Amino acid sequence: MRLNLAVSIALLTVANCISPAAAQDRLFVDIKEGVMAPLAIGIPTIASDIQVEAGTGGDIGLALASVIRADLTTSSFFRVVDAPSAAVADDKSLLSAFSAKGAQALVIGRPARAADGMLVYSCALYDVFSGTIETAREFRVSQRQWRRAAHKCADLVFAHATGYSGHFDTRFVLVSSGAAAEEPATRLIAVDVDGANPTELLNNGELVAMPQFSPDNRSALFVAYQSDMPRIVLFDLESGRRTSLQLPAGLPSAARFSPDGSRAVLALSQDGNTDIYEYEFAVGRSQRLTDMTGIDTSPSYSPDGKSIVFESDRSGQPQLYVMRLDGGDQRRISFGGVHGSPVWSPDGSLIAFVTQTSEGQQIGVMAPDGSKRRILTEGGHDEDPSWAPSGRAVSFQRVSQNGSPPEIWVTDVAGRVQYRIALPLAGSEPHWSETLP
Amino acid sequence: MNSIWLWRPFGRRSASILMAFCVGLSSCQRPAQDLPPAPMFWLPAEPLRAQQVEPAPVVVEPVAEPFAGSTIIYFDRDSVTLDAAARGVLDMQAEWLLQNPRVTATLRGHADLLGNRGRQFAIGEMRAAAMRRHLAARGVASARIQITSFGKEKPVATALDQESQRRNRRGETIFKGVAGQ
Repeated sequence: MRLNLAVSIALLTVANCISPAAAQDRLFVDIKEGVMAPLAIGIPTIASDIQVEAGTGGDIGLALASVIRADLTTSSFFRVVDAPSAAVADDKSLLSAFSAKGAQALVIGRPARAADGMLVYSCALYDVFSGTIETAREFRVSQRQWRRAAHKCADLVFAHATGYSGHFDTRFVLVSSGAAAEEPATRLIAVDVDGANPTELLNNGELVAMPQFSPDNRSALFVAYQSDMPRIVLFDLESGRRTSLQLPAGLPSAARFSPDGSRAVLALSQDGNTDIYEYEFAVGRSQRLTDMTGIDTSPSYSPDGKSIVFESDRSGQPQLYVMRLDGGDQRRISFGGVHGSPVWSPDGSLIAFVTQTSEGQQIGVMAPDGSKRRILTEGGHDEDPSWAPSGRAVSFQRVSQNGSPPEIWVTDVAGRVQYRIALPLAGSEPHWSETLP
Repeated sequence: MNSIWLWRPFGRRSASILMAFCVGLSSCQRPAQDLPPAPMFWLPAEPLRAQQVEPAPVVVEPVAEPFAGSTIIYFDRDSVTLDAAARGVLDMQAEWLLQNPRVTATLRGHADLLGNRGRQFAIGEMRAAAMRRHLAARGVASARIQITSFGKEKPVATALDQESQRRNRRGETIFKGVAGQ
């Protein structure tokens, strides 16, 4: 039973919370016969008396709302409704005004300053029709990390309305030259999901490549060159300690963490032959998993840690193969054209890959048995796919024909929404972190 | 109605708990979450570690006349085969290395931007390995030759046209040590 708006507003005036007898209907993203009706959602900008940074004059209430709006705009699950022109602040008037604009849902966020100086952001998702709070939470965060409160609020809304975990309170790790595209990348950079808060993690003059955050976000794994020679480096982001993996003779590349972070799978090239190895951090030992002639590379674990997908040219052109963790039962899953750089999705249902055609390189996905193959992008030269922890989006690097610096892009898994992440500096080889705790 | 409802099965339950909690209160008590600082967010701005500085290797430019402008060879797309021009350059390098036994060589294999990153790294290694095999066949001891790959990480040209990418598919020879007997 759906309460009408007048009744629900009457309830709201009594208290800022809702009778359990309210709506049985609930907010959801509706898909009918494969056609998705995005949830029309309003995100009012509610002013506070708190500034983003003392002295700047920017109101943090407005800033937080604009971060949430930007987050939800990147998802095809939502259609962000324009704010009504009249400035209203109480929940009742907001519901009424956004209802008139066609909003089905409303995100109301109110910041406050705690006695200890922390920012407390109260985030509530309303069903506009019933006037009920669907879900609500308070986030306490240091002023410096204020954007995280908005990302957490967006994640709360995303998870509630779609059933998938969100991916907004996350970071990308990138390599960057800090200069023109021709310069080699010697910096390891982290940025927020929306390109904000760039942080230099490492810049010691060594060429770095193929970076990845660990599943707990506390360390990074990447290739670093010292005196011309590549090594796989485990970089503890808290202590700053760097450890080179002790591997058999050869040139290592393409290292990826296991889902529990205890191991890594990587490629090792020796005298013209490249095979897949698994390395166990605790014991510092590696085990060879493939022994075919040719190039076996770009391995990625399944989320249950029991299988590995990789790229191999054993049958001619590069194609995707899946094998058991011990290297057994190797079977080809892609056919035709060229397929490479596979990455297993967080829920295990899909593998993202790069395919090459006469037009260039595109990002696609397929099921682990090779079925349901779909191409998601048509940017011309897209590569380095990386899954959002929600499993609903894939980040990638896009290079243009004229050789200008690479751009970082995101596509949703339906291939419906694509957007570029505005970065304050050139960055490439993006890897998407897990959601922060 | 053919309708798939995409929402978390437990969402309603948590909302109900919240509502029950709210009954009789003048304002909602909302579940609170502290966001601890994340290490990858707030690293110090200063350099993280004292840099390890390697003593700069003595680099002997290929001063001998035959090497002027000839320490780079090129490959066809997706190929690791040494063509006649490449073999000619490597033959001269082998001869010079045999005359200068205290010089060692690093062979750097590079790939173009037109393939996947992992594969291009492997192709760079295959190119350097092919160069080493050629030098070894001309009598240069393998111990004097180190090979490495930069894959597609160190392009000389980033435009995707064929000529730019041809220049990226290369093998470089770097000599280290002291020339002479």
